[in-house]
Amino acid sequence: MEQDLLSKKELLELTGISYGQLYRWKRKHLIPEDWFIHRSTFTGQETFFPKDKILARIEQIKNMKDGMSLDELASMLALGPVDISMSREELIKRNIVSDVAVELYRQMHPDTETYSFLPLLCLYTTSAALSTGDVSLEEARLLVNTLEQHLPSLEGQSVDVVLLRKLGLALCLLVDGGAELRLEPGAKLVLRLHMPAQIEQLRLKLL
Amino acid sequence: MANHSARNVRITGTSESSGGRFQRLTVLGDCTFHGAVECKSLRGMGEVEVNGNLTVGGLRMMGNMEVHGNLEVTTANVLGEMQVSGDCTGDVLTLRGAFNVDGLLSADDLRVKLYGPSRVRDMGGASLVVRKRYGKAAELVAEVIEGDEVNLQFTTAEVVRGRRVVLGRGCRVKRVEYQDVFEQNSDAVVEEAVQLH
Repeated sequence: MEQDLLSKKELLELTGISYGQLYRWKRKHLIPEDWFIHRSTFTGQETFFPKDKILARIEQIKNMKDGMSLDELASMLALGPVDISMSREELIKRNIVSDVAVELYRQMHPDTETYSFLPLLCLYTTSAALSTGDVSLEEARLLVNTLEQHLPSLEGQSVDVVLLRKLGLALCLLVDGGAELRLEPGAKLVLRLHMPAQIEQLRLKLL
Repeated sequence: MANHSARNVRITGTSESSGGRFQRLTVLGDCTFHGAVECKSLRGMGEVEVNGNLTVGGLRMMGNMEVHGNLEVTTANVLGEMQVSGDCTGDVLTLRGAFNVDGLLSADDLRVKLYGPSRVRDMGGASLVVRKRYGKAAELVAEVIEGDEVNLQFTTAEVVRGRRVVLGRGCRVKRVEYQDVFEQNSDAVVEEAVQLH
């Protein structure tokens, strides 16, 4: 997946932060390891970052670092689960996920009344998928099943959830974050969501 | 680290451990940990080997240390030989001796006194100071060094980037990129130096 890259020099210049800050934030895991892309250039080894992600993240850190310690910040931005359980009513009331997604999830798990982090994440991702308008309810079910089956064993890893369709037949899979996909002719990439981004958004909504 | 089972442990003589969580860990002698170690403080004299990540609040080490993984500390004071196969990171690192870091060596405040040949892939932080203590072979070889204040001696590097860069005796650097200040000892060899704005 080719994306817009920003060199470290440009980043420092653009954001006005120092090497010390950048390395400190990296050490405290405020910036994920896999955003550091090492490349050889004619001026020697240089580090690049995915432009949009890093700029958003730096802005976020700058805004929040006055209110809390770096460690608090790190645990908030980390990819790990949050210790939380939330009832369905609260979920809808706080507008964290859409009603459609909740209803779908309830049909699949009629007994669940409160949600811990992983089900929440499934639900949130499904809700995000449905809101793109490209995904049918049937396909969303597929998505929930896939996420439920694989997410527990993937904690802390960067994965993308991908939905493919060919001749009306849908297929859902998880791939390594940022991995390139080459599809056969006629197949269509319906949806691709970066799970760390979903986790991050969800965590912010849960605050 | 609010684990109630974490305890103070003192290891003397030659021994092995499976690793785990500790409060205060003291090693006198020679100890091999066969797994990751996490503790509030580690004081070592002699030889410490960790087959996994080592996460410590305060590290004081005299002797020989080998970490096959990442070494994460808050503050560290190391005298002797150190090998880290991953990254070595901390707030304040004071290293005296010879060391080998296969990944990134990073700290807010990094002070290095070289006693022997040392190697690190990348080095980064706010203030980086490298000095030679003694020994003919005492030098540091690195690929990329980046910091706000970089003050080096006897260092060979591909690129040094920083706000203030001071290169002293025995430095050989292919390219220097600096923002504010660049000073160079007459003994230092620099192929090109570029000021960035």
